[in-house]
Amino acid sequence: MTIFKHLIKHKLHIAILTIPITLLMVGCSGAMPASSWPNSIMADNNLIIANNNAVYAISSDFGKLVWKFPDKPDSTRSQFYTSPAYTNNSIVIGSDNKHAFTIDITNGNEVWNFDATNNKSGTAPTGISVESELAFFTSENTLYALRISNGQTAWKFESAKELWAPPSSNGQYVFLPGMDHTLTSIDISNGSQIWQQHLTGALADSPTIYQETLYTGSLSNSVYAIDASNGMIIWEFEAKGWVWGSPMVIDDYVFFGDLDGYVYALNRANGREVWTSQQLDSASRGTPAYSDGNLFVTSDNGFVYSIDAISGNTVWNIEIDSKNADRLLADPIAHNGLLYITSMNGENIVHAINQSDGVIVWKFNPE
Amino acid sequence: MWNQLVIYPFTNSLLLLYKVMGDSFTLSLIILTLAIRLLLMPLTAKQQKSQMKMQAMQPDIKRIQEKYKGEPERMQKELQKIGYSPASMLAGCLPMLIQFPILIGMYRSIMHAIPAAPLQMIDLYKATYQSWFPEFHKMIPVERNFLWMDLSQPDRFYLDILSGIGVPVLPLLVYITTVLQQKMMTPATADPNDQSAQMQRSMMTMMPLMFAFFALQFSSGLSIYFITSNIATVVQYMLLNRERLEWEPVKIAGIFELPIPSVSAPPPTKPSQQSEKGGTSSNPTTVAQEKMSSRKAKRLKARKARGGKRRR
Repeated sequence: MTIFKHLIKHKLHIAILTIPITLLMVGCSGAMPASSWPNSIMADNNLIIANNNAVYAISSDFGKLVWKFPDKPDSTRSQFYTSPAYTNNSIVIGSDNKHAFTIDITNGNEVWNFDATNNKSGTAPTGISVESELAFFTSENTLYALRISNGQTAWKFESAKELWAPPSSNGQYVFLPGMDHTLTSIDISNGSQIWQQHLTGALADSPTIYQETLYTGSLSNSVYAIDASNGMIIWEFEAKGWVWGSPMVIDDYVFFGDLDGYVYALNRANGREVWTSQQLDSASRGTPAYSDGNLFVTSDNGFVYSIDAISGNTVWNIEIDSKNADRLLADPIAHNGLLYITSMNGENIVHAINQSDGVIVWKFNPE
Repeated sequence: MWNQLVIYPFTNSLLLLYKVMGDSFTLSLIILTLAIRLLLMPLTAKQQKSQMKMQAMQPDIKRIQEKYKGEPERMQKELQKIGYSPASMLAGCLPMLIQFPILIGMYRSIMHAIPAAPLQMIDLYKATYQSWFPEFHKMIPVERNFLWMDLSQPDRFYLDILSGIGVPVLPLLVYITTVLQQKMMTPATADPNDQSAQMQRSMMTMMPLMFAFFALQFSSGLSIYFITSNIATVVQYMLLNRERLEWEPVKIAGIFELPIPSVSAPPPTKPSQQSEKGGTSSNPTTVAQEKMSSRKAKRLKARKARGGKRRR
């Protein structure tokens, strides 16, 4: 009651103080966006989705929830956006608060976690990839090679600047993309550097390995083919916009999209342009999916396109949810006649679409 | 619309300054903050003048309040006669409120211009005026580290001896500079029980705490903006009032004393009314004015003795 009286007495200056506080709270909290977008992978016929505070396993056939990690809200395990990796019945995932986790795929229970905070607060984008017995976890400017069996560090490698994507591996070497414009080859057995190639732009996704050649886009419009054995550039192609996602290599072609909304097909041998698509409605960030002669690409504004891989012509396109879902920045996944689209906004974070006509088969709402 | 009008221009200006300043985002932030302060100068100068006016009125206000204690209507009329109204006090807050959209715009622009995460990088690509930066890819990633700070993260200074405890250096500086700015610019009130005086006290306690809280929660870049902006306001105030500047020790957060510049009260608005009461005033503000008048008289006397020439 006394507090109430006090509030009435001082309502004027309380009101005046409330205005700036509200303005700042609304203005600045709205400006605290998610650090990245949800990502998903296919593992054992389940779709594993990393989205904000949880990792979900859903059946790829009907979109039913199998498990959720953590099963209860837990602030210490937060902000999962990294694309998960799958090996030996385990899902390995990184969180923005600089932790890596291994989850049992059968029940969603944590097996181990690895702390890369070094007793410092803050967040950083992380990356995860796996190769035989090792998980490669990137956080800030360090690459950790962790033993999948127990989460112990086998070795670590420090880069000059931060790392946003995990390395790719051919079993003998790992190829680490850096935001400092470098691609580095590292010996998988001991973490020592073999070669380093300086490129024109930052590398924000893993290189694609195909027959001892690395294919990588960059945040400088350039796409490169690089000899995996010595780091020499075989060819370079200039796109219209930044090429973020890893290129997709199918037979003699290299396919990728750019942030200006174009999709390209190049001759794998010499990097010459085979076709460039018509400009999409907005940026295409992810790696295209491929199935039965068609490429599937997504756009930032919420559209999905099926493009003929030979001619570059659009077969169909749909807007998956005109009201809510946009920011289709994750890689689309083609599997058993369906296309799985992970979206950032909207009620449903996954849409399963028919590859043939773009009709939505099911949606997954995490709530 | 908000993006196109505020965020994108701020973001591109920050990036342009970053390029010009040799890849220093901190310098870029400081310069843009000063440029914004310069643009807001007419507004802030008006606010400062109104506060000065209020300060000058204090002896008169007190005198009227004492004289017409039992006659509120008459008191109000007399107060109006000398140009005082509580509404003018509130109007003094207006320039501060106008600064909030700028502050929010600044915060979001900082987050845009130094992308620390993939989503922000995609948004930066959209926000950038490509024609301003023909070799934009060379600027990526924008250098966001300065001394111990990561400008995209809330500030914490880690020392080995503190084992994992981060000292929020910039939030502390935000608190100190906000207190400094407020102590310096807030006029002394005649009646501490007056509602405007109470409001002033609330503001003086709450605002530094609020800004320090924001500095604690949000990116260090925002703290750099707060600190630069506070210092610029203090310097502007000191320059506008350099004739009457005095240094006084003031306790910050009741812990330590700092000599901070304060401005002695300006000459009374109606000297005739001052003399109405007769004799020397016991009001400290009036005493300060009298001291100042005596100093001025001495200076004039000395000038006359030198033959009317100004001392260089």
